Amino acid sequence: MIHVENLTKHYGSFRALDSVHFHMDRGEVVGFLGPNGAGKTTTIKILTCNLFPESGTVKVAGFDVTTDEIEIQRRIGYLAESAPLYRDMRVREYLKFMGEVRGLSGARLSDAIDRVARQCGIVKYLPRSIGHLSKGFRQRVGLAQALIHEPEVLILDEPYTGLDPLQIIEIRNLIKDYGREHTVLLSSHILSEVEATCNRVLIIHEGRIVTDESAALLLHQDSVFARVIGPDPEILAHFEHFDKAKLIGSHRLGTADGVEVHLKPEGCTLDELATAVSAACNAHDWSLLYLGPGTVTFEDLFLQFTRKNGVGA
Amino acid sequence: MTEKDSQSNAPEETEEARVVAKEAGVVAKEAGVVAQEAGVVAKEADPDATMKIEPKPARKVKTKKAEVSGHHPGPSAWRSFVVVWKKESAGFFYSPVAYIILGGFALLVAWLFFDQFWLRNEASVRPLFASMPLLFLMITPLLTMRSWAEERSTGTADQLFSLPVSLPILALGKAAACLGVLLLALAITLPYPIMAESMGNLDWGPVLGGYIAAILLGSAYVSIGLFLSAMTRPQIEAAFLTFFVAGLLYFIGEPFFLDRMENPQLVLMLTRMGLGSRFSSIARGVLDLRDLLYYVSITAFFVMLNVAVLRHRKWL
Repeated sequence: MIHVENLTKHYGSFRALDSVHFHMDRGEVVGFLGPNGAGKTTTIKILTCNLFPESGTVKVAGFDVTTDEIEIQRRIGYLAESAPLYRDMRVREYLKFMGEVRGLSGARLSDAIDRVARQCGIVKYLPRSIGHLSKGFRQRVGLAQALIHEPEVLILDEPYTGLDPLQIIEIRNLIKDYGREHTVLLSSHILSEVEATCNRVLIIHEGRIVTDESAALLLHQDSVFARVIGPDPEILAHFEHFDKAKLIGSHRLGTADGVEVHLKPEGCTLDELATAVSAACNAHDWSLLYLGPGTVTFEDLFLQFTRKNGVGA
Repeated sequence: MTEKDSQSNAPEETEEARVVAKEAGVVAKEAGVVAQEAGVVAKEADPDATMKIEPKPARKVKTKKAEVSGHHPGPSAWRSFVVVWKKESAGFFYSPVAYIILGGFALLVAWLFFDQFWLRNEASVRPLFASMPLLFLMITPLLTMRSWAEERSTGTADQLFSLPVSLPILALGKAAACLGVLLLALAITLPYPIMAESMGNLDWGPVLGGYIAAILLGSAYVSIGLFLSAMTRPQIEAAFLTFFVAGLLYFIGEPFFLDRMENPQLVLMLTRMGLGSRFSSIARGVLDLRDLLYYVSITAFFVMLNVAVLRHRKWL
């Protein structure tokens, strides 16, 4: 459904995207993850034909972005960053415009408005003026607009910003449902949201895709998590150069509370690694407060991948 | 645009354009005026045919095929234009701005008419039409300034440019909406010729010519304003630039400016280029095809520039 190959884009001399490559099929919900300024929005603008690629091939629903804009734009639903809407319009009026411009009219249009209003929980707000809605409801209206023509491809730029936890759960379920039969690409810099919504994750950093894996695979890494009390710098230095494992995350809690280290075994089993950690603590006379299986959080992954590919790391 | 083009498109375009003119709220009692206005709107819509700068006739055919056979029948270009035009027109009346502009215009027009009427005891609409280029020069920048600049500054442009509507259609929809407000402004002036007629005999030829000239000049102003609105981000900048650029194009053809010139060839050239000099000849009731073509090509030129700017920005 979405095919991106060797996509490069500069803003002046700044390289926003550097040979980006990825592919998405129908029925996939893909999370596009990266810090601010990593190139998420630039990629999305290219997919929605707001920007042309400088080099490389970009195809959406089988059409090339440089030659078949309109064909692509008919097949995509797009929610731009921070849901820019016409604030003077009423919600129903806005949805009507967005539907009409995509070729809906008459009964089909009013049915579509009712459907998306129900899906996004804005039925009560249809007669209200968009400018008077809270951030979360504006976000929902933006999502409703993107869904109104049941697009093959749904592209959402930071869909969760401004939503409260309850709204996040509702919208997450909606997106997941939609993704079963369509294609959804959503960007975020908040890792837990992507973790909960997507079955595949693309991490982008400084214009490059640094990882492209299924969310499940990313999260099922065997690792050991330990909390150690003692002199912080020494502990960190020791585990950073630990011969049996790679340090994939660490956190200093303050002198009295100790250090948390997250280790991935290298050339040994989890058992052996756990024994080695406890032995190291004994040898250095550090107290070992907790030793157990580690859960890889997206934060860890993120740091892990961006550090590996980062400039100064 | 060639004359052939406009003629071949004329019948259906005029029919559709008449709907536009009516919907725009032109309560013209004289059928002739409506027909004339519709004719002009048809001319306005016409640049669309030649506006696709990129040579892609092959693609056009392909698109049409897809509309017939594919299960994604997009709206026709005309339908998209109407949807955009409706949205843009409604946009003028959410805020009090359009009402204030039209109110101010109505006051000025009333003053111009009654000044003549009471002081010189003469019911004439001539001063009204003579000052129309200046009146339009004052209100058009206020109408066009927000068109693109606001979309860009609020970010709605990102959303708008992702919709399945081509840039020329978007530009023409916005232009038609601005022109619609100018038509409303002209509708406000309709009581005056009627009043003048009831008080003496009025020659309707120049009146008709005056309206046509005002619409032609208005569309030129609108296209300039829209182009500059696409170039700038702050609305106020767009308004001032429009005022200066459109004003400059108007004043270079005006006598008070040309009187100081020695070179007769330069004077002739500037007179031909000036937005206002052709206005007065049409307003006298002399409809020359060259004058018409002049305004239509100025309008088409700036609409094309507008589209080119928007398109260019996608490459940045």
